[in-house]
Amino acid sequence: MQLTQFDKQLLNIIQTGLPLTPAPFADIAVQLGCDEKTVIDRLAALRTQGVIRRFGAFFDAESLGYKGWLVAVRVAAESLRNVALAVNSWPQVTHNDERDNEYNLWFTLQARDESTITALLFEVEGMPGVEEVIAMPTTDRYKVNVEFKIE
Amino acid sequence: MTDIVDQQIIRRVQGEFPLMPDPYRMLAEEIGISEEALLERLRRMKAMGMLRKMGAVLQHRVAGFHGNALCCWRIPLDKVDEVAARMSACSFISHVYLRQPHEKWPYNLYTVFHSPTREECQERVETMAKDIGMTEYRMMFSRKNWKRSQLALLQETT
Repeated sequence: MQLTQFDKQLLNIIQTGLPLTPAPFADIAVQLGCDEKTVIDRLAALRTQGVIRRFGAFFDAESLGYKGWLVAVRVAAESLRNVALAVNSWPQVTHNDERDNEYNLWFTLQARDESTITALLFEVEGMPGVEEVIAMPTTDRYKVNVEFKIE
Repeated sequence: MTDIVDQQIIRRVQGEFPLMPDPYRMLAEEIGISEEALLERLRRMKAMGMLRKMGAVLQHRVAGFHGNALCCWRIPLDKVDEVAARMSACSFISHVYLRQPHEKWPYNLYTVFHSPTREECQERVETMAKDIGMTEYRMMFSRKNWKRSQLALLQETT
């Protein structure tokens, strides 16, 4: 995907934050020296093309009472796909990756109650090929800021 | 902390954002409050840290970042704050979390490093390890991503 210089500037601004003002795209247009329609049209295109993964409000789940866990699973190679798909089907699971490690499947989940993690771990532990499951609860967050400055 | 109006706002604005000249007016109409009330509440939630940001998250590979590693560190408790602050200040580290370690996995500080390539990412991790004087860590790249999503907040199922 070829990003123009304009796209890069626009993406750097829009990652930092959309103004909480009545005409936020017009405000960004002023910064970029273009018109509002150009900003909106480019953002729509970048979203459709998948350059922008998500555009909208990002809330802090913890301040709304959610707790987070990172779970590591050691699973036989031939069973990994089945386990990964079962894990994916839980809406509370936000990230799920196969990784180069003795624990070869790693996922994160967020829930407001302990019973969700208990039920999920119980299901995963009982699946064919699963040798071990460990869960590490989040106790403190120092930084969450997914922002990539594009040069 | 939140009232019913805040909760309605959270449910609505976590979805896809309208790309139009006056997006907040449209969102406010849907929620049934005035545009000014919506903006005021969003500003308050932002100030409180409940709203982390209004804006975009990019597909990091498309943005040119192909080396993305989860790195777990074993840091003595009396050093955690200092090390975490140092890592948080790095623009190429997006997440710095403290987690309760497991007896089979003794690492307590969890970070995500990003770089244009895996080689550079590995170098950054190694440089950081030297800088902070820590040798017990594990770095893991993704072999396959199975899911990456945003949690739908305040739904009945969660």
